[in-house]
Amino acid sequence: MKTALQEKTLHINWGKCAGRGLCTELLEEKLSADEWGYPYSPEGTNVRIPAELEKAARQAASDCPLRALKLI
Amino acid sequence: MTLRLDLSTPQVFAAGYHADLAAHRATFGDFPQVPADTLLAQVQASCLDGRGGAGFSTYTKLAGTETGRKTTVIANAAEGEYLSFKDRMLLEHAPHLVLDGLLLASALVGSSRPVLYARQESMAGVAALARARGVELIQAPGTYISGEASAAARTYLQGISKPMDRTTRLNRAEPGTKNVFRAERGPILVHNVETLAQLALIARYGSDWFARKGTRLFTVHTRTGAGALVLELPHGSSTREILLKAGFTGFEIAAAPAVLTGGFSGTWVKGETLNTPLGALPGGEGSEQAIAAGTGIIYPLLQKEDPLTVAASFLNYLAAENAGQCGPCVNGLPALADAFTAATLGIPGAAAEVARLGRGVSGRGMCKHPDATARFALHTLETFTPANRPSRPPRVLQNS
Repeated sequence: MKTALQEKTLHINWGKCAGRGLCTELLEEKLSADEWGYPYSPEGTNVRIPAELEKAARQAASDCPLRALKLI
Repeated sequence: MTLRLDLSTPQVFAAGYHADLAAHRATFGDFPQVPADTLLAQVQASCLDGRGGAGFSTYTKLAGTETGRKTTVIANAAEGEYLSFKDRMLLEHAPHLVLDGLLLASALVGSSRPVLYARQESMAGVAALARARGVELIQAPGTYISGEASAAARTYLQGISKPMDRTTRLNRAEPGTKNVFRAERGPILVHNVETLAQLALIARYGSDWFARKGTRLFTVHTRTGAGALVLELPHGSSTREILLKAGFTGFEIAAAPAVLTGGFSGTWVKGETLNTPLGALPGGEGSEQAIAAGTGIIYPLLQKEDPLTVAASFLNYLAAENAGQCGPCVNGLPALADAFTAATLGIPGAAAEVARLGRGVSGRGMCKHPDATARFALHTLETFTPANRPSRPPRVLQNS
């Protein structure tokens, strides 16, 4: 069973993000597009990823054309 | 713009104007030889708050720094807030005390890389001193954002004075990745030059002395041809005390619609709050009632000035001074500044739009610039509602 300690975080590198929006499609449970296309979460820059979303978060991070996401 | 240094209650400036090494030694003695754990305990007991604007606990930042050869310590004199002059005054008149503080902090964290990050106008005055004391000198551009801690660090690492992305605190190493192009970043400890000067005093005289005699630097704008005045006053001073010391009369203080304290992400002070202490108090007690001192900027409004109009021009400045890196900030801050201007003109719905945009930009960037800007906009609207606004809004000419 995953514990909170093992819970991953998705970190958005705003310097690289260009608002392409793939992450808002691949991880729609956590990220939506703001009015300018940038990924919005109430958690801001570091989005907590529960175990069931880890696979989707990993795909979002690897598919980002700007490599602006890091799963840590 | 003239600058005056008031030495009536000196501590940091006790060695006088343009203190050279001889004057510095004559006033403060030799470089203090204090064991690291003793100094750390003194800093903790003194509750010294950071003087770069955030007021963060100096002890917490020092104690949380990863120690060792790879650690860099940067004295931040970028002074990006254009209303502040205290850091430049420190480099001009008390550079050796600042360098003492920098070298003491470096020793505490085991660093052999002390760096001074200073503006071009300070460079000529400190270049030789810094070199003589083994301190590397790097230049800060005059932008607002260059004073941000990670911008200071990034100037040292890459020569770019803009905030940088990080997944760990600056004072802890950023882990490397398997990608060979991503190098590990070592721990970088950034302290404002005033914080370091105060630390150099605490190292000599101790935390009890600091509780009784410690000071804070303020930049007071006289709003006359006399320009700005840098004052060193006992910590716990109120806005009223600071203004009186700067030469304002009680009548002038009462006539000001409000005083902006701390800087652009500061607090509007008026009425009763003129008597509230600014900044963390010695020993930390009673600090909940204190108003944040920020960078010590004191900017009183003139009698006929409209606070919302003044705030709108500050917000336009803050919006324009974004680093141009982060989408939400680059887009959101100008929109927020425009919405605020609309609120200034009394356009319905504009205040709600300011709040909405504020929520949208906060926490979404590589630094806290959008958060602080949004907070200032909302604080201004809350302080000066249509009901208690000192003057009528300018009329909006309507197209017929």
